[in-house]
Amino acid sequence: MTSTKQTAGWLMILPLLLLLFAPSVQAHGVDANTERFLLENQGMAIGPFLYIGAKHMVTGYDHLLFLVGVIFFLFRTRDVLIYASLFTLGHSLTLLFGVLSDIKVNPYLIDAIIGLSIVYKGFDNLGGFRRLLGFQPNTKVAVMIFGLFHGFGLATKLQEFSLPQTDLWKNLLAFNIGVELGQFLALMFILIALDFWRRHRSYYSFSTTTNTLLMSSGLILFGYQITGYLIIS
Amino acid sequence: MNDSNPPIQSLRSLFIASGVATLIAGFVLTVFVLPAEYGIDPTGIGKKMGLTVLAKQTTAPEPVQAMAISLQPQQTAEITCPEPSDSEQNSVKTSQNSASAAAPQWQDTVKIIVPAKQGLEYKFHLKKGASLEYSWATDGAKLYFDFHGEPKGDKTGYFKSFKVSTDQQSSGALTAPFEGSHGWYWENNTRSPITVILNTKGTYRILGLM
Repeated sequence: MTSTKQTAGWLMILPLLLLLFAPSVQAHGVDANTERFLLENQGMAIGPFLYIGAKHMVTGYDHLLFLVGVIFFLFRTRDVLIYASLFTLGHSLTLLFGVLSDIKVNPYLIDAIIGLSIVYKGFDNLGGFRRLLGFQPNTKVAVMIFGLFHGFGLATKLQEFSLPQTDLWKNLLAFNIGVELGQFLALMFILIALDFWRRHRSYYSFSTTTNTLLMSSGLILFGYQITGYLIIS
Repeated sequence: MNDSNPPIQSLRSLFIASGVATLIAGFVLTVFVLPAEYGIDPTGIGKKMGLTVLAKQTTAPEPVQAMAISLQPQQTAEITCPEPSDSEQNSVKTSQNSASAAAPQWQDTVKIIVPAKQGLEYKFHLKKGASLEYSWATDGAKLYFDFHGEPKGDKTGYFKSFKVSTDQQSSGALTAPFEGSHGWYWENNTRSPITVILNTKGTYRILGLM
């Protein structure tokens, strides 16, 4: 568990790093937006982008709900790692690809699909596909494919910051690593909570309720984003 | 595969679960989320709870993004399909010796949008001794600006200001005192976005918005 401590330690240091860079930035008397660009200018954007990435994942309840669905019935640490890695692989690919090739996906649509991924996983956990289709769709492939969609979602968030072209890949990589750190951190908390709950008998008796609520949350997110798409886009 | 063999629900409980999930989602959406986020309030409950107030802020026009759009030099017509110029035209250009002193042939013209209550920088890379002739003007409103240069490779945050003022236009010429990025920091303290048209000419490489 030392790695968790180290991660937490690093994450705590990040704001301090930001403070360290602050004086040179204040010299220009700039606002927060330009401040970021100035940091970039001096090639010191790694810290901020790490932090933004981590924060985005820890506060990104859509990604977290999907992860809860994915690991709900995974009892082995090895399996959790495999599935989390597949998810990471998927969203890293599209995050890097989306930003580097400047593909602008409509954020409402992509977030709606992310909502549906939560519905899918909730239904899957209820054994819905086995009941309806008579077989279990490959869970690893599903996590990977949804990971790709989640990555485009992350890319749209990053594209909201008008990213300067200089050192783009460095900042992008920092953001991506930040996302993974955030995911790791969030996963730890989710696992601790689930582990605790799994010791109680209620885990199985409530699994139907939990996954129903998961589906419901996904549907709420889907409706919210699709409405946004229809109104605003 | 999962190693815990999750229970497969009966068709009946699957229907119930999916139905309940949809009902809850529909209820939460129509009563809370849509009124609060978009001001869509079919039931009227959102209004009673005062949630629609939140939507008024979110349905307000999105804040304008900082933008720089390359125009044809000396063309001042509005551009209909903007293209950010960040990655464009990074080739070093040399000034042509145009004899006409009355209207200098500008090399580059860029339209920059400074969002309300924000500042941004637009920079050029100049070698020591290189020249930059410039003339910029806003659409009427005044901007605080700081025309300055930062030495190449400097990590201390040092910069040298050439001209600091608040105005709606400025023009002149600069001979770079050192190699590095030179350009403007504009700050818009008004409540609406301001457009700057910047004309330049000289021996430089466009770095663009920063």
